[in-house]
Amino acid sequence: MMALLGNGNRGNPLMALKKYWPLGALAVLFGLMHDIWWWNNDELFLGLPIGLSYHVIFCLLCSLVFATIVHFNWPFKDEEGGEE
Amino acid sequence: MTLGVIIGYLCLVILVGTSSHRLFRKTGEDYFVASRSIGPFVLLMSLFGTNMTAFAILGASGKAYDKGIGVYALLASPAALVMPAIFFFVGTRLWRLGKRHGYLTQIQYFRDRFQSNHLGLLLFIVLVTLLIPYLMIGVMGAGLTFSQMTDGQVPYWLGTLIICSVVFFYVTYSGMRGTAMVNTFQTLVFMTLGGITILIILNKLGGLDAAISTLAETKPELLIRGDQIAPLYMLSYTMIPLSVAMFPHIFTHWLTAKKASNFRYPIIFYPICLAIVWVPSILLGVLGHIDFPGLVGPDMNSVLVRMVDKHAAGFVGGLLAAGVIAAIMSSLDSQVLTVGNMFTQDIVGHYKIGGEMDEKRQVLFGRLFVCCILGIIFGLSLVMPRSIFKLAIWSFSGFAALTPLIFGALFWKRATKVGCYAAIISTVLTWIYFFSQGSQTLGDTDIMVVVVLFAVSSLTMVVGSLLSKPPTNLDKFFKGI
Repeated sequence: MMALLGNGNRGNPLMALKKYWPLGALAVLFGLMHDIWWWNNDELFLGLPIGLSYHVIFCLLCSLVFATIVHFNWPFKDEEGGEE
Repeated sequence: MTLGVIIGYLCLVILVGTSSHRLFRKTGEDYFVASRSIGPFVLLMSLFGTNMTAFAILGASGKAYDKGIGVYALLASPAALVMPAIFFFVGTRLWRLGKRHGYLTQIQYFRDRFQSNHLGLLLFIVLVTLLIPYLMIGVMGAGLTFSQMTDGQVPYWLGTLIICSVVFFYVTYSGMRGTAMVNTFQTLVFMTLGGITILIILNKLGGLDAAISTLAETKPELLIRGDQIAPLYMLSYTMIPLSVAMFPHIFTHWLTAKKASNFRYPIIFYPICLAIVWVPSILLGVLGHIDFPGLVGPDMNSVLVRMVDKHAAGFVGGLLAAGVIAAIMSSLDSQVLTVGNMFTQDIVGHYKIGGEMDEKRQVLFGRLFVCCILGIIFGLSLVMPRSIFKLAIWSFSGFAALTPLIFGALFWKRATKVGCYAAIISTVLTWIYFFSQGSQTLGDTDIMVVVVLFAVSSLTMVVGSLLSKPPTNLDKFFKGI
């Protein structure tokens, strides 16, 4: 797990949280993706069947989460590909 | 009129592809990875365009025709979550290693990481074998589209021949830079035309509300997931997009980035691009029941083209057909170029067949192999069955099962070549077994075969690695990465 996000800051819970929250966010997204609660719901939302519109919104949410990860947890300091 | 528009579009594609030839530096690195000079927007468009194949455009609408709107949740949502994560965790690291050590192919990386020539050769054979059905999806989709949109004026075989010829022309002439430019152009085309297509067709059907109401009366089960898609099936399907981590053509596109921060665009915007393309594709698939009820088997894959042909013939129809063909070609070109690159670097160059490989010979061999591969794919597309979707899933399952190799190589210092051998061989054996059984799910369950393939591959990778000595050159791959 450490290798996935680079070398961590051992012993500092806040720094560890900052480092590992992307994995938690991706796990939450994974849970949200499997929306068994809409499985047989035929209502319309935004003009589309809710089983479709929910997943369009899910894609937008993914984009937002990845933007946040890239902004706060970009692992590279040197844009040319030098130091992490 | 339709045919004229398609031909005009193909001429435009050739023009875009060949115009970048003036930047060509006549080196192998430039021909195969555009001298690692691609910016963020072109990287996003070329990665997305390469992943959007006939599978997404034709296969998914055909699947939606059969299974309903749940196909979006099944195919697009996992891709929106998994693929950007792969770009972030895997793509950026491979880019750095590629730039640092001068890799041009996946095989070069694996050979170097695990200090094994034979492992590279075995992986080469497996990857190229898995890529062939994926390549064929594009060529076959193009043939179907041409035939359908021109009412048989251009037969299936001629449609596939035209697409192979166009791709051959700009890929051999301009290499990866031309391919990336064409991908960007074509991705913008099919994203725009997908939106226009759905608007035109919905207008002809009396609007979105009316179309959905009509469908609700005749096929209400298509507006929910219901029994068409089981939750376990969807859960196990999440593993399929992992395959992107092992696609040789995606690896090559990663290497084209000028700097690591260029990955930010693909990571952030990939899910939005997916929604832009898949919503029209899925909607047109389910609404196809209104105009074309009763399609079965491979005919379901032509539902999108039939809808376009019925509701937007002539000039607009030609444009929309061009959009479908754009999606197909934007994948085919990268895949063909990458296989040509692999033959050139990993076989001819690595084994020094015919002597040392200078820059001029790299380009020459690359072009020759592109020509051969397109010829073989064209021939195979004439004799193989045409169920696009099923072909794709088997190919993706194989690639997904090989991902423990790349995860092990990048994140686990204890991974060894013995572990890799074990993972590859176990994947091949289990894949052949399940393929011969003919079912993509396990027995009577809804669990996809890819779960077993991945589990077996991971287990054998771990056991094989722990039972053997790790390589000695780890600093090269882990220090500062």
